[in-house]
Amino acid sequence: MRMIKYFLLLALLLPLTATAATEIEISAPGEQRMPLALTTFLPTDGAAVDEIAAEINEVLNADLDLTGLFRFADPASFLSDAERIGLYSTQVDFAQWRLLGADLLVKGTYSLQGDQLVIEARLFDVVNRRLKSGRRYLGRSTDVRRMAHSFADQILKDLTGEIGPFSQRIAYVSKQTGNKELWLMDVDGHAPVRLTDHRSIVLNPDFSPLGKELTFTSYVANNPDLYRKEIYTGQEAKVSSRQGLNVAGRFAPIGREIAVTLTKDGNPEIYLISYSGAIHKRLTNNWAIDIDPSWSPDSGHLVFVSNRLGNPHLFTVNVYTGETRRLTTHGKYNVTPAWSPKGDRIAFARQSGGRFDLYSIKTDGSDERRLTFGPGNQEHPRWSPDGRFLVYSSDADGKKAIYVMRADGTGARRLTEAGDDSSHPAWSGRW
Amino acid sequence: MKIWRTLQYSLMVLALTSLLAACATTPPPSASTADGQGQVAATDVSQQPDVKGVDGSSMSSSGVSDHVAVKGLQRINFDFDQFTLTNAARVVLKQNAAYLQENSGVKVVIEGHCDDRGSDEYNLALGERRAAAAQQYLVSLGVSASRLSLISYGEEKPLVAQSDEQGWAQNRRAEFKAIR
Amino acid sequence: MHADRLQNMTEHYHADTRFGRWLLASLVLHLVMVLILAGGWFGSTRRESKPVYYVDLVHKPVLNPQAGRPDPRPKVKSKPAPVKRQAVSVPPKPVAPAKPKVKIPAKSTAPAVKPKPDKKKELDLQQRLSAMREKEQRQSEIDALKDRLASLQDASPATIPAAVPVGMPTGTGSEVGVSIIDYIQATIQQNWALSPYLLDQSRLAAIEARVELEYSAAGTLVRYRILEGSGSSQFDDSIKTAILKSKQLAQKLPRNEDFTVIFNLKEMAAAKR
Repeated sequence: MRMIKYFLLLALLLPLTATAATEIEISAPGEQRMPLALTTFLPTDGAAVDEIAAEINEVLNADLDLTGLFRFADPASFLSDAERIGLYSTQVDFAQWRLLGADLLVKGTYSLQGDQLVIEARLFDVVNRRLKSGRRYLGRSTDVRRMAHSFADQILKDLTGEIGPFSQRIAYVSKQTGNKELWLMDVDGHAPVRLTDHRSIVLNPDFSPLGKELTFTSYVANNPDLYRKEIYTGQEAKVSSRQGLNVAGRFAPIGREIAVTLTKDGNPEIYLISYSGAIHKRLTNNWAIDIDPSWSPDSGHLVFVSNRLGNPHLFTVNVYTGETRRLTTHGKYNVTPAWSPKGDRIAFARQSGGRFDLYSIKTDGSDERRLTFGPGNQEHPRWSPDGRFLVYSSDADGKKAIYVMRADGTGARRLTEAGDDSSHPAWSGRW
Repeated sequence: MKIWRTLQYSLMVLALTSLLAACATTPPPSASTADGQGQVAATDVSQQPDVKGVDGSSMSSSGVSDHVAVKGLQRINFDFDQFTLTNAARVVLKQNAAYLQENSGVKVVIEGHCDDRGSDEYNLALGERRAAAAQQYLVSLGVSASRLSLISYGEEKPLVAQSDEQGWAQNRRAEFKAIR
Repeated sequence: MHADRLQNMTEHYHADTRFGRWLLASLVLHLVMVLILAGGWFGSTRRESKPVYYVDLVHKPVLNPQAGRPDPRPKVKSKPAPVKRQAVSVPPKPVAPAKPKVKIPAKSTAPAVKPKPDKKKELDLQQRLSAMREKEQRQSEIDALKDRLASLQDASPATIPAAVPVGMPTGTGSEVGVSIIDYIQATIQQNWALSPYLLDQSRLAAIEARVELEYSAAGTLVRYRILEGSGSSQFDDSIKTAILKSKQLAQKLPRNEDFTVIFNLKEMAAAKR
């Protein structure tokens, strides 16, 4: 069919070619993933420590794979250059990598002296035979993963202009101690640390724009109160402990304000409060349930859940004028909205047929797309700070666990142990 | 003529009620009253009164009260995504009100709970409305509002772990715990 | 519920003319109800669209369909993609023949190292066999690679290496040949790798660049000039890479070719919808 089309087109164009230059249209790339060769990092001096090389490789592989940007060349097909140290473009035999069809090449070295670890990492453009990015990392042997994540961030920066989110952290709620407590982990699920010891119920964390502070709700004082916690010092303070609910606190991306749902007057309404809990503004005034706000990146709007028209739907409100608009028109149960840090889309969970799945929609209510298709419940979507990924909770593997996927719903993978009963993830900003 | 009109009115009313009845959901199984019947989740805050402050935290454990279930106060159940009181719930609440009037020294915290379907946050709000509905009815029966406080646990403290219609129906409830 | 009601009403319908008004009012109320429900005030349901996967099944045309025969060689399973790509894209560049020959043995020893520690633990026959099989497979892969290297070295327009595209599946071996333009288009397209994640998703349909290319009769890129950039450096870089990868065609051309290539993502944007 296609051939016939081409022949016809050619037949039509043939008389023209005599005079004008031929035009060829290529309307899609032959490959939607860039071929990349990721070599194992080599020891420079001192003994080879296979675990270090393996860990670097594992982290880079996982991070870069999640981006969906790359197709990895099979390491089994690597030729001699993979076993040669080559930190400069003049030392790399690019012809070998061209032969394997790789457009990009990651090489690097490590050296461990005592506990001091030095990693040199390079990204080469094979076709143009040049260095695209080079980084040297100094640290301790325990920093291997940190360094590898950092280089993955750097690779994204050099290829896309925007740095990756892999060096950041994900806060979440987990019940693995028997109580819901606040936890923190690397974005690939490694090194989980428990942050709270409330032995009560801790809910719904959110990072401050500077990243080193969290807000959450805890029942530790027998009321769902809003707290603020500094991650490094561990200092904790009550922000709002008004009668009733003090839940779903969200730091404004700009300005020192928190959007929160309070029921102090008997009905759930959304308020803006200061970091010390003083009420700045009441944003909703409706008999219905208004809950679960999420900020636009310019702090000018909030998206929230309201059942003012019967079923829970998403609405947006202008923070300055109070003008409220309905966002979702489909479905009967749309909840937990999260406004993309890019500002263009809002992710949310919809319950349909007794199950939750994730969707995203443009901020004007158009172009709704379904992102997950079961099994199980997919809930609590939150964006990575670069808007590339969504982190969420799913019980597809049994109990709730934290998952991550690309913003278009592809590449989903589980980050936490399936038995840990983890939910409500939040991705920190730059650390 | 007059007879006809009244007949018409009554017919309209009859039709409307049958319409409403058809729309309403089936009532949940009657509220389970025996406290030992359902397994209470291990996370029950009331069983962990000695909550400690976190290192460097500004909180203290003082003022944390211990809530206990009282024999005379029975829990009530709700329909799915509803906070209106069912007839069965009203009957139970009348008994509870009678108990509170007999024991005038008892202060009560009303806990609102939901089943685990639905969004956690939305359910927190729904749980609070359930507790508030129970509170309002008790007040209307003459119990002093100052003796009744509210807390919503949303879907955080299910009564039973069962994830089916029966389990959900048991978990959609309001409980009445005495404050010591 | 409606049936009940209507039955009750029709029994008394003729009794009173005013009853008609009641019926009318009831109908109007029902209509309003239906309209409200249909108007989506209480949330409408919508059929969920199933995920759609677009698979490009188009067979790329090649210049020499006479090669329309099944490849007799056993395909190397683990890396079909590189075979295809390299077939069209890699120019018969003088890859130093000594290098792979010297280094490959070094690589081939690597898998042999693996079972070593196990030996101490008295490998059972099964394990040893599988190790051997693995080693054999590695060796055959390396041999295949060596073959490819060798075939590339003496690849000239006259002798088509075995790894070059094997023509259309429907080819009878008697076709005259596909147009040069189609051949070049397919070559450049195969060499063009671009991820939609690199671009602003909302711009996919609009993005476009025009490049002027000139190939000599020997199939070598003489020059290229970007007539109109796309405005996205990621997009433009990917095009330049594709052109550079296509700078030596595997075939001679009948004459010098001068043409304009328009790069866009119309197909991708359509698939994204």
